[in-house]
Amino acid sequence: MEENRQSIAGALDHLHPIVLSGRALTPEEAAEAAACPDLVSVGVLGESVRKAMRGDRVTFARVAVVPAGAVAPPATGRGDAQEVRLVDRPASLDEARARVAAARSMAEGVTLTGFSTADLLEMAGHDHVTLAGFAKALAAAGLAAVAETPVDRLGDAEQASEVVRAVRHGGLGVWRLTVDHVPPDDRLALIARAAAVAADVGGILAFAPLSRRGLADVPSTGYDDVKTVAIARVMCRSIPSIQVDWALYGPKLAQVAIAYGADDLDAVSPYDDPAAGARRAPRAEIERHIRAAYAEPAERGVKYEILS
Amino acid sequence: MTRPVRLGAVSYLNVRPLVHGIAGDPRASLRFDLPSACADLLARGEIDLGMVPSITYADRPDDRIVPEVCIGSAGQVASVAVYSRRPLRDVRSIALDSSSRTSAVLTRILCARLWHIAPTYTPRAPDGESMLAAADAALLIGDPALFLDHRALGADKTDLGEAWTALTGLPFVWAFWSGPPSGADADVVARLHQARDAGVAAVDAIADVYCAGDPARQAIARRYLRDHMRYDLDSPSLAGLRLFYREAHALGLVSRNPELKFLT
Repeated sequence: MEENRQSIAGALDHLHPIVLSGRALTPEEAAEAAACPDLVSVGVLGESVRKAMRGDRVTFARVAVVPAGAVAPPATGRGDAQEVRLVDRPASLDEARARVAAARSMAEGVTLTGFSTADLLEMAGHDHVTLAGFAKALAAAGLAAVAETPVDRLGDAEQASEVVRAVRHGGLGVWRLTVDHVPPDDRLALIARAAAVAADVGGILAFAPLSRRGLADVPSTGYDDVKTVAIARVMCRSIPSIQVDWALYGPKLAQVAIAYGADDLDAVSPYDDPAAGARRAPRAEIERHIRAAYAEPAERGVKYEILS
Repeated sequence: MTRPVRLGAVSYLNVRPLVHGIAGDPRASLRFDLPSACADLLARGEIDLGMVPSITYADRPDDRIVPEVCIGSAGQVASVAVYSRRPLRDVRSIALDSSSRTSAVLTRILCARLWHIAPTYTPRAPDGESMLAAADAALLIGDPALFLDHRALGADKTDLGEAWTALTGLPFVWAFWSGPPSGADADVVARLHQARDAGVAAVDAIADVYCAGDPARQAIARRYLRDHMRYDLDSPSLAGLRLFYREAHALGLVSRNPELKFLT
């Protein structure tokens, strides 16, 4: 498959040596790649960088997601999750703390993450000292890291870096950058912003470049999405993993994204349904999808360490 | 530039590594003054670039910063501190060393945001004993603070660099080179970078010369330059500087929250 794709690629051949040299594309070069109608050429760039950085390995994470209003852990507990993740915006710091406290027993032995840096910033009145205080309170309650840091909601790269620093100063990890909602035309600028933030603050382990919210308002196409993944991979060289949300984008797009530069699939269900049979168990299914994309699956932990 | 660039710097030990070798350079003239005087010289156009206290930049919207160089600290600074004979939470009045507005503004920020006290402030000459006789606490900066034996005063020392980093997680930028856009060209900027690099490599010798004849002070000065000072205006330092201006502006201590603009 790789040889076939290489042979038919052509429109962006001049960029190929650049990405293989380890240099990130400049904004102008990335814009050229993003504007290229030849999707295969764009994919070759993304996949080449993925292979150069990560080899054939594609990781996945099993996450127990706890939405707001879940007053008690699900009867199934956390299943095989390595991460328990609190999602949805809390109304106040007190509510956030209460949700952390309520989820602590469910997350015993694994890592508890939650909330969005942008939501916490708004709750703190955009005051970084207050934000750091919120982070400190949540860390004291048992939260290890914020789950989402949407670079489209934190101002420019400089401001976003300051927000990340404030949250970390409070004692919470910020390991991945995300995107809440960005129209396709703005994605290039946002990827450049994510690259700048990661280079500035360090310690960013993954970037999930596809929108997580408002998907029905301004729907993107699969064409846009895989192109976004590829451009993110070639521009964000200081970020080890480019991530696609398995639950949000579905197995098919997630699988195709691997061929465009994604190397991590997030939010795989931790729950196996015995009635569905072993072949339909989440772990078996995702491993099958990754292998079908000519990659080697590996389960990872919350800090992207390999578990299997 | 055809004439030598006129540089003005604060007269404290901590600036010496940044001007290492400049005194004999025919391309520059250099003078040392107290921080507030240095800012005044810049305002009157008597120097082209000043190593001025950070707060000065907030008052001068047209100025530009020399990139990558500053006097900063991350954690303890050792030379800027509040001295008090009672717990900070019980402090109702602070005597401020009148020679630095930056430290005075930082003190007010820390009172409001970290210590949650609202004392009265009185400017005083930098003498610990008389300041503590007139107020519950005293802000001292520079060499008087660095070499003061606070135990002899019977006072506790609260390091403001350490307090800022505890509040924000960021370095604090105490001073930097700045001036009007015409104040320096790329050659001057490069020369200041060279001076910084040479000075940082020679901090022990600089400390020994500055405190010549006083081995005890030399030891303090060496530790200070080596362990407490940061001379790179890097990304975390810039974040700390921006946050300082935001906090000062939010408390009404400066008239604007300045955008950081640099000489190129």
